[in-house]
Formats: sequence, C-alpha cells, structure tokens
Amino acid sequence: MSKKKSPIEIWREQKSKYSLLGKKGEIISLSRVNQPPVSLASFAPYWSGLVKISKTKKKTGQIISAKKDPEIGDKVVGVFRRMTPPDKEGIIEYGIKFKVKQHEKTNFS
Amino acid sequence: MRIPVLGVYQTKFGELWDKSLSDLVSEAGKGAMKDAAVDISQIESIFVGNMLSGISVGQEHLASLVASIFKTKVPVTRVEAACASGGMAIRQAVLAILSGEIETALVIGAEKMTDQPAEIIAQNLMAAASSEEKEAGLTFPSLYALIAQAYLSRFKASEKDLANVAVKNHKHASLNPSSHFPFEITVDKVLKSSKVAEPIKLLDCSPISDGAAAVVLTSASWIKKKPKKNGVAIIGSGQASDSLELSDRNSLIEFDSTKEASKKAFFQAALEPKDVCLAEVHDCFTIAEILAIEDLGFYKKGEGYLIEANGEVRLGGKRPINTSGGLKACGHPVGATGVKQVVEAVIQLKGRAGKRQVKNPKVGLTHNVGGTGGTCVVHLLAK
Amino acid sequence: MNNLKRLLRVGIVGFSIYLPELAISPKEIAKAWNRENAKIGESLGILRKTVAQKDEDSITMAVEAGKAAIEMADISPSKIGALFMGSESHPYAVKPSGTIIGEALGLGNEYLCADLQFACKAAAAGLQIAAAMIESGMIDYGLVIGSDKAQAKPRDILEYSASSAAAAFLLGPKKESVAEFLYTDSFSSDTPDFWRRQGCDFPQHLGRFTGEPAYFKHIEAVTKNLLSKSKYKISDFDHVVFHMPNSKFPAAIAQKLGVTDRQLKQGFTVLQIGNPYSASCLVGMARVLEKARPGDNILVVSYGSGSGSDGFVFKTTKLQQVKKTKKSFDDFVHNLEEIDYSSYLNQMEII
Repeated sequence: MSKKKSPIEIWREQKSKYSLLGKKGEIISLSRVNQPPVSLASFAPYWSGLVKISKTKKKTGQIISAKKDPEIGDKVVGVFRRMTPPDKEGIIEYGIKFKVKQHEKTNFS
Repeated sequence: MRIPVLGVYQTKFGELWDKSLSDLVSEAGKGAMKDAAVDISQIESIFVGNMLSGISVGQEHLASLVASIFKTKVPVTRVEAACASGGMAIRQAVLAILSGEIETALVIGAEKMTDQPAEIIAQNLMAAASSEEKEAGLTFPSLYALIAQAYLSRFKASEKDLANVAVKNHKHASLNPSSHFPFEITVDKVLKSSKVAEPIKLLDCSPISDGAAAVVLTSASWIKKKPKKNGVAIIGSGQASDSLELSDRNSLIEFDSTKEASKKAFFQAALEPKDVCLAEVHDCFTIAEILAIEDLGFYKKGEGYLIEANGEVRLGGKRPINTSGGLKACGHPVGATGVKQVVEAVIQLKGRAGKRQVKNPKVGLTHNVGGTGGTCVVHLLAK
Repeated sequence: MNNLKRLLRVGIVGFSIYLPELAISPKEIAKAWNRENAKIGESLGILRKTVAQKDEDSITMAVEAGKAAIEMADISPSKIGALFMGSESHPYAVKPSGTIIGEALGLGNEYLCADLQFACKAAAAGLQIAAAMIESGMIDYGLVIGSDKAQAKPRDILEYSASSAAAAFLLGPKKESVAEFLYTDSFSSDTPDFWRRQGCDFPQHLGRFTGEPAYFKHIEAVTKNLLSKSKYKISDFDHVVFHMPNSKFPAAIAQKLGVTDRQLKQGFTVLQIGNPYSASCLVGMARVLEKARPGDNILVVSYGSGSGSDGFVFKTTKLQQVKKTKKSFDDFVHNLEEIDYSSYLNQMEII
C-alpha cells in the first residue's frame, strides 16, 4: 500500500513549488538513485541532490542533465516537469526539477 | 543521575516470518523481566518504541495492544521518533523514574518490517523525511548518499573507506548469535554490491529486519531495597533535535543533534568522550558511523574514516564501536534498535558478551538517531 | 470569416519555442521495423524528430515556452488577460491545461482561459481570438501556446514524423511588438482525414485522403481568400510558413501557390524536428521571426485535420532587432541528443 499524494495537498503546495521555476542554483551534493521509491519506479535511474538557490536557501530536488552526468558545483536552473509517472485516473503532479546549464552550447543563430 | 538496569533481552533480529509484532513484543518483554527477576505486577509503567506499526501492520493503538499482551492495566506509552523511537522510549522511562512518579519501568522497542515487500517498506520509511525530499525522489539510502558524497568529496575519502565500517560490523556480528547477519564480509564484496544510490551500495546499508529488545529500569532508591551484584546503571541521558530536511542544515557532514545530545549526556554523567570504553552508534549507513564517532567527540571532523581503517574501533582495539554488529550487521528493526543498543551496552558492562566481550569496560555509550539526524538520543551507562 | 479586418492595435510582443533535448532519426525507427533505411527519411524529408522525456508533456513544454515569451516581452505575467493553449495531447480530457500553465507562469486569477482543440491547428484559433480581444480593447495582452507531445502508433508512418515541441506567442499592443498582426482569415469544413477518439492513445488517418481533399484544399482556399480580400500578392511576402506534416506537403502546396524556396526557407523547420502537431507552423513562424529583418511581410498558414486552415499576415518592426529570444530554434537543434528506438519507446511510455 504505497501512499499517493492527495490532490488537495498537491494543490496547496503549488504556489510555493512553482516559484522555483527559472530559479538559478548550484549543486551542493547529489546521488544517482538506482533504487527508487515505488511511485517513481519508471523514472529510475535519476539524479537527486541538494541545490543552493541563494546565500541562505537550499532545496532538495531531482536533477536533470541530458548530456553528461551532473557533478557537485554544476550550475542549474529550475524547469517545469512532471514529478511522478502519470496514472490513468488521478491528478497529475507537476513541479520543478533542476536542469544542469553548462553543457549547452548557445548562440547558433 | 543513576537509573539501574535490572534486566535486558534482545530477540533474534532478522526475517522472522513466523513472528508477528505481538510475538516480538511479548518475547522481549518477558525475556527482560525474567532477566530482571521481576514479574509484570512489579512494573509500574511500560514504554514502547516503534515507528511503523500503523503503516506496516495497521495497528496505531500500540499502547493498548502492549497492555493486552502483558495483561496489565498500568500506563503504557508509545513513543515515536522514526529510527530514534527506541532510544527515546528509554529516555522517557528515565524521565518518568526521575520524576518520582514511578519506580520501575519496562521499555520495549519492537518493529515488524518484513510483512511488506522491500520497496513498500522503503517508501514507508520516507515518512521520516520531508515532503520536499520525497518529491525529489529520495529514499533513505539516497539521502545518506548526499551526505556521503559531500563527506568523500570534502575529505578526499573513498568508497573503500565506507566499506571498512561494514566489514568491521559484520566481524562483530559473526560473534553475536542474535544478529541478523552473523557472518563476515570483505571490502571487495561491499564494493561490488549493487549501487543503490551512488556512492551508497547495498552493503553500505543496514537491512530491513524484524526484532525487539527490552530493558527493565528502576530507581536508585528501589535498588537500595534489593541490591544486586554486578549492577549497571544509566548515568546520563541527552536528547536533541534538528531540522527535518537536509536543506535546512548548517552542514551536510555533521549532525548538530548528535553533538547537542551527547553534550547533555556527558554533562549529566560528569564524563568526557575519552572516558567511553565502548559505544553502540547509529550506523544506518556506513557513512553514519563515520559521522557519529566524529560528532560524539571521539575523533575530529574528517578523522573518522581514517580511524575506521586503523583498527582502533574494532573489537580488541582502543574503543570498540558496535560490538553487537551495529545496525548494519546486527540488523535494524527500526523501533527496536535504540533499546537493543542499551541491551548491548549493559551486556558488555556486565561481562556477559561471550566471544565479543570487550575487556573490562567501565563506561558505555549508546547513540540513536531519527531520520537524517532530525532527532538524536544519547545515553551513558556505567557499572 | 465574414469580414476581413485590418487589425490596427495588435502585434506579437514576445515569443519563444521550446524543444525537448532528445531526438530520433527515421533511420533508427526504420531499423526497428526492418524497413529500408534511407528511403523513409528521404521520402518524408525529415532528418529527425524531437522526443520529449518521460517527465515532460504538452503542459511542461508549454510552461517553458510561455515563460521565455513573457521574459522577452518584459511584462508582468499578471497583465495577461487571456491564455489559450492548443494541443492534440492535452493530458486531461476534462480539466484545462491552460490553468495549470497560468498558475505556473504567475498569471494570477484575472484572466480568461480556454483549451483549444483542432488537430494540428489547435493554437492558431488562439491567435485569432486573442488578437480580436486586444483589438477590441477587452484585454491588453494574450498568451497563446501550441504544444504537443505527439503520439503515433508504433509501425505507423506517422511514427517517423510525430514529434514534440511548444511555441508561445504573447500578443499585445502594437507599439511593443516585434511584428504587427495585420490580417487573419479561416476556412473550415467537415473532412475526416485524421482523428483520435476519446480514450484512444493513438490517432488514425486515411493515408492519401489526407492530401488533396484535406491539406491541399484547405490551405489553398484560405490563402486565396486572404490574398484576394487583403490585396496582397504571394510575391509580397518575404517569408511563408505552411503547416508541415512532412517536407513534401508544404513543398507541393508552395509550388502550387507560387511560393519560392527562398520564401519557405527560414520557416521550414520540419526538416530539423519533424511534425510537433499544434506547434508545427508556430515553430516555423518563430524561426522566421528570429531570422527576419524589420519590415518583412510574413504569411503563415495553418492546417488542422477535421478540417480547417487559418491564414495570418504579420509584418516585422524595428523592435524585432531589439527583442531577441534567449535560446533560438537553432540553439535548441544544436543541443539535440539522438537516441535509439528502445530509449524512444521508454521515453514515450509506450513500453
């Protein structure tokens, strides 16, 4: 009996969660989770870590890095993603994950 | 303070398919009372340490269940502080006796974890972590992996340094017939075990175990009426808290709650870390033991992993840590652990530890942590 | 529509696209089905298609594109009076994607929200409605997003082209625009070329019927109507963008209508990313806006199965040189990481 988050709890947390969208940060520590909790089984393996988002504030969150494995010290930015694999009937939980910035090349236009 | 320990008992820890939570509670409680040479009519209050009975076996009214098991009407109090439930139950009993309200207490720590599949239990254990950490997809191995990663990176230690802790504790457990894993392992085996959440591997993690432990405590005045030879007593008790989530901590690589709780206990006992002969510390993951021996004041920050390598904290060394096998190898039925730690310290101080006996110990310490250091309870025991 | 009005007050004040980081080539898909490698990619005229990750969907991509569009416009999101989200892959059958996006982008509560559906032209109607509301003075700014995590049945021909992307356009006062919104017209009919029933995972289509009686007929009709009513000639346009289900269809209609390769070039995004359904012509339009010069005339013609087409006429302003996207189409494309077929199935949650 794995516990699903109540849609009301999801709704209540939205405002504060979404405020991390676009926030910049730096990875303080991280781990690749190979054995996830049941609710995230299909997302594994993924990275989770501790991110510093200001002089005084830190947040734990999932870390996304497409090109190469993320490392301590990498700069990240908050992006909007699904937090759990969707089921057929329930409310979908959205939230913010931290995407590694530096491996991208820009200014091709 | 002086809270004599009249009797102790630990059930076997492991995958005890044929034992229910009630069976474990009953065995431990009866065993401790027998060791104390008292019966239930002499127990004025019972304290039960347990974390998951609601989620795992659907029983939240544990206090009443325990009263039914022992057929008593005395006050029974359930204490919960995640993995520190057992240590906190001991402390609550100590405080009750110190208050003068009661003179004898039975403290039982118990947990039944194997009725559910491991992934469900791992998810249930996350009830000890924060909402944000759950959303980040973290489980306890990965939370401690963040700590380990920060420690290894800061002190240039390696995964092999973590493995040393597991190897030592298995060596101790191989001498403890009540342990979950009474066999030795090698560093190589640890390093080759599956990566749960890097750098934490399967053999860096304490297991999911069933088990119970119990002690009978009494007041200093009660024992005067029935003095016992070879007595052992709790002489210091400290408890402290810290934030639920790692993102609110001052540092990832030290537990303020351990430092605060141990300071209080040492002050009460009028002792210092150097006076401690042996300790049962909270090695839920190998990194946790390294942090513990530093935060308890035995060694400086950053020295812990070197000490684990040089034999000082092994049986036969200067200050053996986790002679029971620790959480890693003796097992970790969550609510039972804190009480088991006191049981082990008492057995050692009384000279009853058989093959794993420490030579002539005078002072023992127990260190029990909840979650990632949100709660810590430390006790000091002496002859 | 009844009357072709020349809009006087509306323009595009901010825009952005979002592409996911992964892509798969037709060759890779063909390998899985043992089909001849080179031919499929060539015949469709697609180099690769973008693939959204497991934790992305049409809403998450819309949020990313919408955020960047608002940043370009440099206005407070609470000033946005309407939000229209067009998609063929709205995660909910009942519950608007738009309000989830509105909440994430900080729009507050004082806005009109509607989810739109009209196959691949779902968002185009949003542009028309928002423009009309701004022109009439009912709202100051309107955010329109087309976004799809396009699903296609494994083994079906659509599998090679159905991709994922989002494009967001913030419409607002002409004086803040990078491009003036001048004219729009529509042509609709009941033509069952491509559809997806409620509860079904994958769409169905009628093969060759999707050509002449569907795509070509509607695009041609609306373009001819728009040109004749507005008095533009095809040669007046510096850039032309058609809905791009593949390379062949837009190239063919271009030829029929007398549109040159040069006019098609900047907006011809299907080659690089495949067909992201509701975002298709909008992504093309965004690239044109990135590459254009002030004073350029732009014609955009959408197509949505079921069926209908809308035509749009824009003209870039001096601000087009000033307000720039932080991450351009070309930036996104250069950072694409190609994956194999089993990874693709995993990401799309088909396995």
